[in-house]
Amino acid sequence: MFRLGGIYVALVATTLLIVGGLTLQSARNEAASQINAQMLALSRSFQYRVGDLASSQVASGQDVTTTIVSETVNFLENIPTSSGQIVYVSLKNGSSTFSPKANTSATASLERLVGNSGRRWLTVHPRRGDSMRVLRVPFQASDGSVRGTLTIGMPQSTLDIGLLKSLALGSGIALALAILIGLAWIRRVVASIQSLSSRIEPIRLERDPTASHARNLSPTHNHDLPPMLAEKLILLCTPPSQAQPLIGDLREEFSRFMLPQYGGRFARLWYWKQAFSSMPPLLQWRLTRFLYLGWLLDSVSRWLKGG
Amino acid sequence: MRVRQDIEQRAQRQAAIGAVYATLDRLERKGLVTSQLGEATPARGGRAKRFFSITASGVEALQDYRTTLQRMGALLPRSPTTR
Repeated sequence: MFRLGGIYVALVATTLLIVGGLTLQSARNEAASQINAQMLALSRSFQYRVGDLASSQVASGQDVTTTIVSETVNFLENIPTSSGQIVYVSLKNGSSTFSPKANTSATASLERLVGNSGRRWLTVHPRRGDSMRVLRVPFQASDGSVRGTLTIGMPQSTLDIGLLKSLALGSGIALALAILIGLAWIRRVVASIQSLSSRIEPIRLERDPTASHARNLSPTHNHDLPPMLAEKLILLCTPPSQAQPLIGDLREEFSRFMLPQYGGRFARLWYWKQAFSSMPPLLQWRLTRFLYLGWLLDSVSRWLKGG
Repeated sequence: MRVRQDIEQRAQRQAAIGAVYATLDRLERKGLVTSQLGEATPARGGRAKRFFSITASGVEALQDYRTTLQRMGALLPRSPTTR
């Protein structure tokens, strides 16, 4: 029972672990694509607003670097940034601007990327703090010349922790329910098997020549015993409380009357006949007891009689 | 066993052991018979015997049934006498 329960719990836990892992991975992929889309939209917005404004001001004779810096600061102060999101603009002349809400740990990680002109999409793992998804886009003026680099970073921790909490809660509830239901089911099945085994065990012991019980129960040989399969058939069909007296009656009649009077072959045939002819009433009896139809019919008949 | 053999001898028809037990169980549930388990014997493979006895309400129901059967039997034509 405990071994079966342990195997079941291990199987359920493993299944939930695999399903939970796959779900988490799928959710992370979905979240990552949302983060990417959000950062791309921000970069386009920056290009559109700062680039165009800078171009118009340069056309009116103002210094391009000063204009870009001031417009960048203005943009960063006014954009609605998500929690922990960092926007970092570095210009070619060496000046740089961070969004106001950026923390030092994250900005230090982003600053290291300034000189790197490699991949556009990056995942930064700082020494302290959470990993960050980063988008690096060259910032172009309206004449097409590259003026600097726009770097947008967004931490992945907040989303992951939320997902993990939801998954852990769901998995925990599912695990507890599965274990409770499964253990109850296993207990019921094991009880049925034990009940059946206890009813079949005396027959087995009786037929096993090495079993000490056999000699105490009956001194007969195996070929003088009733067919075991027929006995099991009757046991399966009979309600447990009535099985032993019924089998005992058959055994007594078999060994006392049929066997000495008609011989082993006829006695065994007689036993099989009893088994087959008893099956329909036994099954009906068992079904009636199970469904309490007898009680219902008795109640209805008493009611009809006015009793 | 004895009940089944009695039925077979008196009714001159075979009765399956399962049908006898099912009927006795139904009668016991109705309170017409009672039963108790006896001791296990080697001849029975170490299984106990169940002894049934009729209750007062069982005797009453049997008498009612016999009376009804007699009334119904009175309606049947008498068998022709041999001459």
